[in-house]
Amino acid sequence: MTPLLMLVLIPLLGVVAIALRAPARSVALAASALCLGVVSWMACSYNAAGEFRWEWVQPWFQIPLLGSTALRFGVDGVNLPLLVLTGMVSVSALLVAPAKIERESEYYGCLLFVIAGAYGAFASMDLMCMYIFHEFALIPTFLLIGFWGNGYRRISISFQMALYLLAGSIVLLLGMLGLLFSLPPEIRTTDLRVLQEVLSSYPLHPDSQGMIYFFLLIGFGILVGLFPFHTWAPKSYSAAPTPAAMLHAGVLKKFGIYGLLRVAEPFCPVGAEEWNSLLLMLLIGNILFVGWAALSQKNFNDLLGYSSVMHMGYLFLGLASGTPAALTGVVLLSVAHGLSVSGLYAVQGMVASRTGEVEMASLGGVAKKIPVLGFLAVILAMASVGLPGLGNFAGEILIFFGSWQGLSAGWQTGAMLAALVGVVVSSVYMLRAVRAVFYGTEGKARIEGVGLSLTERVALLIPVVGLLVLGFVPTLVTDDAAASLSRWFVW
Amino acid sequence: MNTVATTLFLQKSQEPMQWWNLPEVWWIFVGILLLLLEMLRPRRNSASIAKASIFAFAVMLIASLGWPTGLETTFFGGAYQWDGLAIFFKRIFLIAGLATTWMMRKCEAQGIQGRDEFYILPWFAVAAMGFVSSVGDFVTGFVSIELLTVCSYIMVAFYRSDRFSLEAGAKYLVIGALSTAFLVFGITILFGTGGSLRFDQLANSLASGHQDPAVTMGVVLVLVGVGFKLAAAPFHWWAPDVYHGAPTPVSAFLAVASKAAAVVFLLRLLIGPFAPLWTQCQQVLLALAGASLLVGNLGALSQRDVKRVMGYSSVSHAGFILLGISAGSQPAMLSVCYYLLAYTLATLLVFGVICGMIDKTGGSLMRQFNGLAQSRPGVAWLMTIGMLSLAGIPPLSGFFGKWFIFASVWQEGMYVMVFLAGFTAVASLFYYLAIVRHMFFEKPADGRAISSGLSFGYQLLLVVLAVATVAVGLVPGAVQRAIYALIFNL
Repeated sequence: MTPLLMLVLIPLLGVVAIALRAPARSVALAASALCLGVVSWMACSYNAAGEFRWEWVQPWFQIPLLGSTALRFGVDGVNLPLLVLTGMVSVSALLVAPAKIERESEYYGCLLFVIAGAYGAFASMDLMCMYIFHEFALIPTFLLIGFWGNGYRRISISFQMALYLLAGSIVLLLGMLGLLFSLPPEIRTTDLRVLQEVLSSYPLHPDSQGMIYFFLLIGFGILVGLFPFHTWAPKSYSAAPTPAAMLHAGVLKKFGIYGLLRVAEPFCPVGAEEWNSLLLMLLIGNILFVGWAALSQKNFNDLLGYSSVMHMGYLFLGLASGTPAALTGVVLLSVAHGLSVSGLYAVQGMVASRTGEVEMASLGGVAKKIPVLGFLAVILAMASVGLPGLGNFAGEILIFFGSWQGLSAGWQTGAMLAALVGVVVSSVYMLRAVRAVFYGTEGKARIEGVGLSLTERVALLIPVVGLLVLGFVPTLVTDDAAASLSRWFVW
Repeated sequence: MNTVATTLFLQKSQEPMQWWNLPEVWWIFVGILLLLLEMLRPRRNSASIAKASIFAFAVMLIASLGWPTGLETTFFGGAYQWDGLAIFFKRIFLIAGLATTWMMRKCEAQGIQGRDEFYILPWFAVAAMGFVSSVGDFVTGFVSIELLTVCSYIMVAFYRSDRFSLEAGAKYLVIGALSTAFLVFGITILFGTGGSLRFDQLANSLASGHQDPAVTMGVVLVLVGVGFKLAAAPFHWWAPDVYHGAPTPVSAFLAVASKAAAVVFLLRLLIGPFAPLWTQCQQVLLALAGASLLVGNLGALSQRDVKRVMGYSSVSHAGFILLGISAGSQPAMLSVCYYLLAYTLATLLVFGVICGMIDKTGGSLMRQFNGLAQSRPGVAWLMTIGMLSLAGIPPLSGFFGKWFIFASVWQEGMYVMVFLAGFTAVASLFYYLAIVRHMFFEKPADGRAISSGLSFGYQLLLVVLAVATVAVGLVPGAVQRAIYALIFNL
């Protein structure tokens, strides 16, 4: 029994307990805290210099046509930080979740299901299992947005999200089929460790690499919100209840990036080169077009959604340049972005629950009434902008350096320039939002209730402390990540 | 368990099978016995007939575990073949028959006149389908399909006072007659050109004379006739109307058992007389598959009635099955069987919930499911499992069914069809989730439509179907291996 299996089983057992009428909120919190404990212990005792640890394999099924699939777990310097991210965000999200809510047990059951899916997707070292665990989260998110969400359009938004994500998954599935069928039948498997070993010595045929990479890029890309397939994301996040938005924007969206980093880039290097200019064009769209859209948002919630999609452009830039430094930066920025965006969604939820308002024009002066909230919110906003001393800066700078290293003329230069402009754009909209919500005179919306409760403080401190630690000691993540990447990629 | 089986059919031994041991003979015998019981019993009380029928289905299903596998024989001069494919489908028919009669018992409270036959007709239908699964010549095939269809006519129009049921019955009768005409016309042409009705002899003669345009015409006509039974587009128009109007258990029976019978008849034809004409057949099948995928999935989008949605959904699943069949390889055959098993379990589950929840003849609007998650959360979750399996969400069995079909079609290089199937599968999520939406997001309207309660036995049926839907998905490899061992006699 590996601790990784426990990460999946604990939330699922929590769902069972809730189904048996145990107090939902306490069970959910206990389960997520236990998981956070397990991942923290793993992070502290990893010490393997990029090797895989806590591996566990259980053969699942074998089909003559498709080879073997195993329930395989394993962790190295790339997915361990993402698991820690999952643990931190899930605890923070459940702390933010309201104590009293209609149909409480189903609400917390859905959240636990999403958490189990996220842990499973990041801990699996089998392509099929990764896919299945990621799909775990689809239907619970649909239910969370449709029933507990905000706004009168929540039902149509929940449908849009579910269809978009399923479409992405189907494209991904076609890419997986292509990958499997370009292997000779006797070594067909979805086991990533085996695939990596085989493909590093016997690369796929360049033609099939191009096709496979394209499908994987679009499939994973839709899950991440790659321009122009991003339209579902801001809407869904602003319609979702706060914990669901935190989990989805903070954790699940990183699954697409992780998949590209773990599967598409290393297995299809030639294909990646072939489609490099397409990816660069699309990521310019992510940074400039979505950044532009973020500038004109009037609603704090929507602004966060666009901002989170925009920053995916930086992760794609790291993937597109493909140098060791940039890919290490992708791992670091994924974690830092997950922490900052989920923290910002938590802040947004707290503001909205006190004022009942999300329009920035009618908000204002929150920091005067609740200084702690203002202080923590500013730290999170600065992290998202990329202020030195916070995790996002370290990740972005690594990506910039890495892209500079592999710089070639053409779209790459354009993407670098766009990314630099994007830093300015993101500071403009984020600072504007901070000023409108937290400073200035109190707006139309009256702030009700008092300061932050203890649980709310803890919920915000988790990402803030995480970002500070990553900002000052990024080597905690980057050392192992770089070591693992150098084992996983053939450079 | 096996002792029961061996007392019923002394076949585990290596002795050759005898015709009186064939399951269909027993099934018809049970049907006649139930008719006699109906006539002779002292009080008019259909509960005893219903219980006897359900009990007999359960016994036969258990007895089917004792059937001799790994044995290929023929009876009645080659008109009846006993092999693994037949066993697989006969078991599917028994499962469908059991679940259907169970649902019929739930419908009993709704004031059906002359209700006893309702529990007896499935026996003759199941026996007819059993013959179809073993068919070895066109006469047996035609007669068994007619017996199935005639039983279905009666069952569809069983709510004699309900105009929807009568309308459905009339439509089914007309369409059934039309498809029979196609089928029999095609058979006539094949008989005229091939000189025989036996599948093996016909295969030989068609192999030599397959350039003859008359042969192609005969083959196409037979495939059209099967297409009607399968509810494949463009011969699907009856399905939504008939599923909508028929009593819910009968809709379930048509969606599952009748379709499976058409599938096995098609398989028998393709591995038998039509084998020399595979390339022509493949074109027809691909066209039918593509049309069914598009029409079924897009047609369901605008429906407001759950049973009509299930009608269009059954068209789209026919498309998936035809797509798998048109891949034409051994793995594809396994994928089709796996898909059919997953489809059977999930569809029975969904119709079981509809039947249990809607105390009304005829339609079952989605609105009537409003707020089901609040009033009966357990049932709502069971329905959700069924819907998600049909939509192909992992790790439910429907997902692996689709995945295996995709793989076997991809193997044959028909990439366009895989894309088409993939994207219509995305569209299908919309209408399956629409029902989930009504159950979970809407407030109950007036509570009138939702049935008062379900008996323990009925709940057990639904739970068993749901568990099977999940379990077949959790061990896809083992299920495929079992099907492989059964069909290819290992």
